[in-house]
Amino acid sequence: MEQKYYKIHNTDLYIIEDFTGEIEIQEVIEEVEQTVSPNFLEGIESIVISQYPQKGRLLEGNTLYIRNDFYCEELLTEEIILAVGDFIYNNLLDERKEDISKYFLFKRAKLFDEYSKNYNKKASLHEFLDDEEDSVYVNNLNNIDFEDMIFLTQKYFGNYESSLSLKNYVSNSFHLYVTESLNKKYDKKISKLFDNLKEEHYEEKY
Amino acid sequence: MKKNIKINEQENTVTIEVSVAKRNYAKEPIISFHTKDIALLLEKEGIKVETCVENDSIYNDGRNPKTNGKWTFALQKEKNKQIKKPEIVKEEKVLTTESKSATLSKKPKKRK
Repeated sequence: MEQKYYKIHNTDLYIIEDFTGEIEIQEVIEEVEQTVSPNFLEGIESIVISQYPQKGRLLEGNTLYIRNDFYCEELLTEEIILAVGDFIYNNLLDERKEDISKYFLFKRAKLFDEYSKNYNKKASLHEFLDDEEDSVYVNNLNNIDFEDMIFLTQKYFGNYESSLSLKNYVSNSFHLYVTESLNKKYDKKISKLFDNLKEEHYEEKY
Repeated sequence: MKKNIKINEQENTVTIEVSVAKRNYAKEPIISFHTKDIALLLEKEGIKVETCVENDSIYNDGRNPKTNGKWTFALQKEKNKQIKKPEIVKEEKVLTTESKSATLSKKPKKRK
């Protein structure tokens, strides 16, 4: 097919290969534009829709690659917002990343507390204290009932995926932030990070 | 949580219906299930899925909780071919006017 070209705010959107399902792209563009303010997309040169990458999504330089195997506008919108969250994570200053990492690990420690008290499972704290994706943490969670695992991760991280790594935490929290679903009690720090980023862009501009 | 899983081998899809109990007391946990959670649930059941064809979400919180949901996923196929990075021809100004993508597949979809 011939590539299709659109804009999301000021970012180029290329559809290189058609979607597997019937997607109304204009609906997705409008939803992303209404949900994510333009300054969060600053620096993202292009979003490319195709069969690439093999799995998941990918950020290379200033280009976001998103797969074309979507059937639902809602899920494609979510994927684009998460990809913008990946870009934010990649461009965080080391100092800020470190700060958020501490907060992420603090949450993991809280989760561990509840995990070890309520589910009586053998695990040690250090198995929960890694901000990279780690199979030991996943295996520990898999030792409890599925519903409990979803409940626990939702309580501290908003959702399961968000709890898997610092990168996932930032991108998923960004999605929850822009859709106004962040838990105010548990997510003050990360909300403040996004508020500040928004504010900084605003100050740079005006 | 209750679940009912049906595999359609002809269409190469799996449909799952999930329900959660309504919250009656504040001490009861708040929980919600979204598409990624359900894909994970299927993975735990040993069913590998690729993409969601019919989307839903359920939650037990609020005045009008939605406690039943139905999802359909395409089952994972064997993937051997390597996907190459696409080449983009940089466009200058002309945006595509047609909003709908040209597709062959007409699978049912559910929007909230």
